[in-house]
Formats: sequence, structure tokens, C-alpha cells
Amino acid sequence: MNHFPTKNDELLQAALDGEMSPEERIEFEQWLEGDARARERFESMQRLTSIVEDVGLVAAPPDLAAATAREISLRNNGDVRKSPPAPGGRAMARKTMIGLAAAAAVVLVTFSITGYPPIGKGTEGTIGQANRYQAQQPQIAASDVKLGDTAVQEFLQSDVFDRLMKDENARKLLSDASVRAALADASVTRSLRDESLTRAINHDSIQRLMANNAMRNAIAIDAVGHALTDDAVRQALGDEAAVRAVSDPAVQKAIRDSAVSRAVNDAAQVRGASLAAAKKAAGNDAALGKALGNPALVRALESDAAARLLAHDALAKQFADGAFVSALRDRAIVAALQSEAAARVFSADAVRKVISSDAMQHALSTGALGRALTSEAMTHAMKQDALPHAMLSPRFVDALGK
Amino acid sequence: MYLDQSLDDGAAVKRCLNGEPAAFEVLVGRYQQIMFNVAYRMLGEYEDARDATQNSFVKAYEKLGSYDQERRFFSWMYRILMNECLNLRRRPATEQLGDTEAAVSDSPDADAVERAERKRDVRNAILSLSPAYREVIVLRHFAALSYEQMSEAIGIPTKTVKSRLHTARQQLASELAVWIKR
Repeated sequence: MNHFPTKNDELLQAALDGEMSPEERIEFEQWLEGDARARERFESMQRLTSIVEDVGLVAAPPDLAAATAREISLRNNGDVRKSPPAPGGRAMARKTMIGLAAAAAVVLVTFSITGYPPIGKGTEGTIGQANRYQAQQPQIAASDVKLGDTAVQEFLQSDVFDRLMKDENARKLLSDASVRAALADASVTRSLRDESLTRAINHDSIQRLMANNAMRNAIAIDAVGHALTDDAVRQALGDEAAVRAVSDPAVQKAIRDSAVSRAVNDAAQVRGASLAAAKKAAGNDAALGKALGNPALVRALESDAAARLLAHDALAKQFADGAFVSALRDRAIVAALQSEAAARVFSADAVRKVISSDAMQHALSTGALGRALTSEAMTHAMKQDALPHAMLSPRFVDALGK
Repeated sequence: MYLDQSLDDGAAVKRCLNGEPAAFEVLVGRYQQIMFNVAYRMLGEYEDARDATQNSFVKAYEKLGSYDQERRFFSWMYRILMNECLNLRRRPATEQLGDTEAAVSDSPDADAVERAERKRDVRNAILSLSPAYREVIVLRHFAALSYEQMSEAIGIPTKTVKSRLHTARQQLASELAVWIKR
């Protein structure tokens, strides 16, 4: 639809921007010649253009290029090939994630209205379930149903649909008008074919998460929505512990914090979805925001091991501590700490106290301890119950602190 | 390392992807000025614009593998920048504007003072536009993009670009009527 009030308005603007064909220019000049008010309007718009452009350009910060190069180097060790191409157009955008649910909603509601599926074979198993929930569905016009795609058929035959049908909270979510509105986007139907998306939605914890009002609000934040496009985030959301943490109201509050939202937009940070647990333990938005702004931490979180480790409430209390975070940069340490045995050890209050001690942090920062921890013998020992048990003894803890 | 600054965008991207990250510096050098100015006019804050521009380049570098080389690099980069700006968006603090560009207002010359006031009003008027209208004004007047280039960068039809520009200018004309009549 063209929103120009008149053809002459369009001509006037094209003249102003130098975007006229020769024919249009002739037409425009003839119009101006015979219309004093048109000339006046044109001059007025020229004046506007002139004063706007007189504001001029601002010089970019002189160190912008150098700072950018430094940041790139820090994050990637200078190798762009470490950043793989985005698979499949990163179909896990917020609207597509909601869209998949929306598809379910529309189909579900349609069943409740029509009593029969508007699709082909293979849906018999789901029809009965749809009818069982018929009375609970919100009223919606049949015209709201936009999906005639084969993707719908595939979706209806999936476990996802089956699970959505059974979950009361999910049904409430799916009745949301904004969810239905997501159907207007073609990417929604495309998303139905995204296997990884389907797998993610199929996860019990994701469905609970999506049914949570506060989380939906958080997802509506651009930064968070953007973060959901990342494969790593998707993987993190598949982790029960991470989802539990993200479902925490305190964490959701943190997500809504602008500083945290900005940080969340970084895939590496989100990969450590367990940072939510850190937030819960730290109980301090500002500290978390500060920690998330630490590039060293971001790099540390690129490690799955670090993410697992930090998911532990007890250790998470150290999250905002610069020295602790610095220690986590040492991949040797991170590698050593990923065993379940180590996690048990480090979850103990006494050990946690030791970790926060200056002596321990100094030891961690030298790398020597990391190297010791990664030795084959130590790794083997850590897998045995005896060593973690010994490490929890007051004497050992005391020794560590010295 | 010496880098041919005339390296075209596509060639620079290919060299980056082939393991020559320094080639990205050509792209940063080429687009930092325009990207920074777009960010500055969209956000109204120098430091925010700096952050948005730097973050955009870093993200562009990290996602270079997903860049469709059939598209203009600028358009792709611009979308990343706009996402950054949206993430940094805040209520325009119009009363704080002008710090970066206020030097001229210190001049005792009456004309210079008036010009500085006018510039401040124009900046505030631009920031008072909704993001969609602000965007077309910024791209047209501070990035000198054609309708077609704006259409590709924003991802909307050319006719929508034109109609948004029209509306945006009407709103600016209303805000700045006193300056237009002088």
C-alpha cells in the first residue's frame, strides 16, 4: 500500500532525494512551474533537508578499530574459523519457537470447533485427545487457522503435539492471542520442519518453561529472544538443571535486567545457562551483571565443563569473584573439575570457603594446581570415592587453605 | 601485515574465512565511520554508539560464516548493528544531548550560537521520532543511502521506505517549523 497522500507528494520527495526518472522530472517541473504553493512546499522541504544534514557526521572514536580488533582477538584467538556457519538459518528464533506452539494451538482449537481434522491421514491418535480438551479451549474463529501445510500433518503426528495436549499450562499458553499472531510469519511453518526445534520443544522441562508466564515475559525481551536463536542455547535448554535454574523467579528477574539482557545476548554467556544458578546463589543482580560483563568469564563459560561446574549453587557464590573467574580461564582446571566427584567435593561448604581464600586463589592463578589436577593420576583418583571423601576431611581442607 | 585497502567486501570476507582474520580490518576500516554515525543518531549517546558499533563488528566477525555473499556486506552488517542498538535502546535522554558536539556553541559568535541551538533541536527532533522513522532519516541523511539500498538494509519494500521517509519528514518539519521558517 502506498501511503503518500498524493502523487505530487511522491514526486516532491523523489525530487528532494534525487531519485527521479527523466519523465518524472519533466512532470515535476511542470507542476512546480504552475503552482506557487508547490514551489513553497518544495523549498520548505529543501530547507528541512539542509538543516538536518547540517548536523553533520561525528568522527568515530579514534581507537574503535583497534579496540574491535583486540576484542575479536580475545574472543577468538584471532581465528574466524572458530565460528562455524550458522546451521539452517538459526531457525530457533523466538517467533519460531513460539510459532511451533502456536501451530499446535491453532490445530488444537480448530479441532475443538470443527470436531474433525482439516488434514489428511495419520492424525487419528491425536484427534481423540483434542476432543477431550474441547470444552476448555478458548473461542477462536476457524478463519484463524492458517496452516494448510504438510508440516502441520507432520507436527500433529509428533510426540510434541501429544505432550502439549496433555499439559494444562501448555494449553493456556497456546491460547494466547500473541502466540496465534506468530502464525502470520512464514518462518513459523518452516520451523515445523526443524528437527532440532522439535526435539527441544519435546523436552518436558521446555514445555514447563514455556508455560511459565514470567519466562514468557523474559523471552519477549529482544536480547533473550535473540539468544534463543543460538544452537548452544538450545542445547543448554535441553539440560534439566539449566531449565530449573532459568525457571527460578529470581533468575527471571535478573534476565529482565537490562544489563543482564545485554549479556545474555552473547551466545557464549548463555551457553553457561547455569549462570542462572549462580544468580540464584549470589542473590545480587548487580554482581551478576558485573560478572557477566567479564570477558574472562565469557570465555570460561564456553567450556561445557565450566558450565556444569558453575551450575552448582555452592560454587556459584564465587561467580562474581574476579580471582575465581580468572582461575576458571585455565582450561586445565576446568577440565579437572568436570568430574562428578570433583563437583561433590567443591560443593562442600568447607571447600567453598577454601576456594575463596587468597591462598587458594593464588594457587589456582598460577596454573600449577591446574596442571596437577589434570594429571592422569589425579584424574583417575578423582573418579574414586575415596579421594573426594579424603578431600572433604577437615584436615585436608585446612591444608588447602595454607 | 600489509593489506590492500581496496580489497572489495566479498574478497575481504573470503580471506577472513580462509584463515586470514586481518582481512576483517579492511571491513572495519571501511564501515566504522558510517556504522558509528548510524548508531550515534539512533541512540543519541556517544558511548552507547561506540559499544553498539564495536559489538556489531565483533558479532559480524564471529558470524561471518553465515554471511550470504550475494548480499551487500553493509546491509548484513547494518542489521547486526540495528539489533545491537535495539539491545542498547533506552529512552532518549534529549537533555543530555550535545555534549559531544557542543564545542561550537561555546563560540561567542551569535550566528554560531544560533547554529548550535538549531543543531541541538534537530538532533532532539530526530531522536523524538519512532525508531522506524528515525532509521530512514538516519540512513538517508547520514549514510546517504538510496531508496533501494535502504530497502535492502532495513528489509522492507522500497515503497515502504518512501512512505516512511515522507511521514518522518512531516514529523520533523512539524518539530522544526521554527527553524525552517527562518
